Amino acid sequence: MIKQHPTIKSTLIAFAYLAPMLIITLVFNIYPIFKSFAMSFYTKYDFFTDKVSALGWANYKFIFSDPDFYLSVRNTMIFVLGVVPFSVLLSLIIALLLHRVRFLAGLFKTAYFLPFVTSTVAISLVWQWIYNDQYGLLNAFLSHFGVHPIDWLNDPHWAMPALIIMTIWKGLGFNIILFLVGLSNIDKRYDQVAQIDGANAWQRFIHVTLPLLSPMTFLVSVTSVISGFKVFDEIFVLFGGSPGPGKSTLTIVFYLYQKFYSEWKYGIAAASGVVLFLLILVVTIIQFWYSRKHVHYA
Amino acid sequence: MDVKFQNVSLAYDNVNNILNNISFTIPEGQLTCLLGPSGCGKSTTLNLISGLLSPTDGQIFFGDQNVTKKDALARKVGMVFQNYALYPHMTVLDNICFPMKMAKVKKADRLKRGRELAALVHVETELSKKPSELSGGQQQRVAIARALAKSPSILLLDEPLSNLDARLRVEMREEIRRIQKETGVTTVFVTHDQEEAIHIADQIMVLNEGKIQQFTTPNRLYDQPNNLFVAKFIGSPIINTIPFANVRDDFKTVVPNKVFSDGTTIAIRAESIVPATDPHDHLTLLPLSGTQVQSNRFGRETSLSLNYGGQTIVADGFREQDLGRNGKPLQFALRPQGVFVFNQSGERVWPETITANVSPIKPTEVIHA
Repeated sequence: MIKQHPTIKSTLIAFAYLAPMLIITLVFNIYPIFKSFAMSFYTKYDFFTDKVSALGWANYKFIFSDPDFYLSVRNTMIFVLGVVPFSVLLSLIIALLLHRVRFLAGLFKTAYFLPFVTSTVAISLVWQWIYNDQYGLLNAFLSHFGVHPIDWLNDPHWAMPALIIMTIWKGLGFNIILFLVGLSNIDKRYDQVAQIDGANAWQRFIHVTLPLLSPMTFLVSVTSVISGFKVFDEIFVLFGGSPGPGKSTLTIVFYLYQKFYSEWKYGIAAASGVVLFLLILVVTIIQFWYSRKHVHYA
Repeated sequence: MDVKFQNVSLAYDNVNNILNNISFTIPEGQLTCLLGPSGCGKSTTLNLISGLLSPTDGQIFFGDQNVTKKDALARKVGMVFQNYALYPHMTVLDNICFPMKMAKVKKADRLKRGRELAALVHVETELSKKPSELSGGQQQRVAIARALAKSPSILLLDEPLSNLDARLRVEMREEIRRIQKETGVTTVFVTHDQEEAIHIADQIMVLNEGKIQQFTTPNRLYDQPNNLFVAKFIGSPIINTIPFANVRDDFKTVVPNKVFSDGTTIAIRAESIVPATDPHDHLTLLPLSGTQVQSNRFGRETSLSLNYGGQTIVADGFREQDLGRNGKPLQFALRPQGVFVFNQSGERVWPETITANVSPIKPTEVIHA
């Protein structure tokens, strides 16, 4: 059975087993991807009859001359840079603490993981209250330090920070769990050996724990970056369906959404989707290139 | 530096004593083996020397210095673990240099010393490789070099050869011995393999149930076991034991009256059982007779099972031409070395003292005698 040569029959049987998943993937993933690539070149298109009357670069020309699109790219970048480093760092620190503290560790893990399993809508409702300029928890807390009330959700300067803080909080639990898995996979003996080799706690962390944890840090960073680029529902719910005060939280996906559902400009929406895809691709390639040198797979 | 234990005990929960009031001195500059079955306390003893464990009672000295309260770092011990525990993300050279880096040795100096150590353990051509690219034996060498890197007061090896295959184990035990002799560092080696211990050690401490059974040179351990546990633990094939009551009449002329009445077990090494008619062997203790059960030849070894005193015992002092037929009576003789009588509590009662100039008998010498 093991050294069977592939025959037409065995290949067909294999395809039959693969078919259910393959068909679903083809219909709902592969076809839409190619279709949206194609759609980004439709300049004259009837959505209801699926009739394409003209093709060209007009959609791309439009978005690259649209100030809103540049704003959305800029906002997305700020969002990713604001969320990913803090999220990774914070979840690493909390994971390290949880890894050491055995007392009530299970309770803490559950508490940190809860935001991940809670719906974004519910979370956003709670945060709308936290961010309220008059009754909000955050302003009440800040007032103890003499900070004047901030209108988090209606001030264009503070809308993006508010979005970033909520997103970091929401993603923390999942990243912590991943880091905890990574930490528990590190053989305790390395720590023991390093201790005998004369390394103090900080040196053991820098020279032993951190390098051995790097595959997990890499995974967490890549997934955080990708989900950061795709941010949409947090904005939609937190700002009541608007891209923030004065478009201050207009991101690429939000731009795409507006073009598609509000303005019925399918070609332009598809073109912005392709640009987003290329952006994520480039950033991920850069991350992989960086990881070659700095991530150690044991 | 020598290591001295004074009345050291260790209990995990004040009930189970892992180590029971043991005292010993490990001499400076030599290779000492801690040998015993698993759970005998040998790894615990090693961890007490290293400072990874501290005793419930008693004192530990390195030279004149009381180190009982000091941790592993302050004691400056070098340690090699069973699975080597090389840092997987560092190259061989970085691994070796790591303890020196932590001790803030200048980069040029530590790289120079690292290369010297790599040359000492013969991994100088692998310096830029990662541990995962090395064979088990090479990883072992790197681990030893790393342990030596901080010029340890004592080098501790915890079952260092257990993860290697049989041939490599023999090679590496010679290597460890060579490295120890070249550096002269006091070395403590933990193993459960008596053959390994005999080949590598200057002296062996046999431990069982948290107590020292015997602490002496490998050959004395083999030739003069203090008790039945040591006699059975050291040597392969395992020493033959027969209830003394079954055969004591045969030994009436040889043993004193007190031994005749107190002895409960007689133990006979396989190579001490030789053909009765061996013309070259003048040293036979006494002639005996039993029944040949079976014989097998394994290359240079011929193993004979024979029935004597109601027990099947193994003899390897025979050649094929000395043998009779299975199931037939067989005359044999005992050599004076390698025959011991133990009393009820397992202590050796005969021979009382063994003259030191009797050289140990190796199985091969008997075969070709």
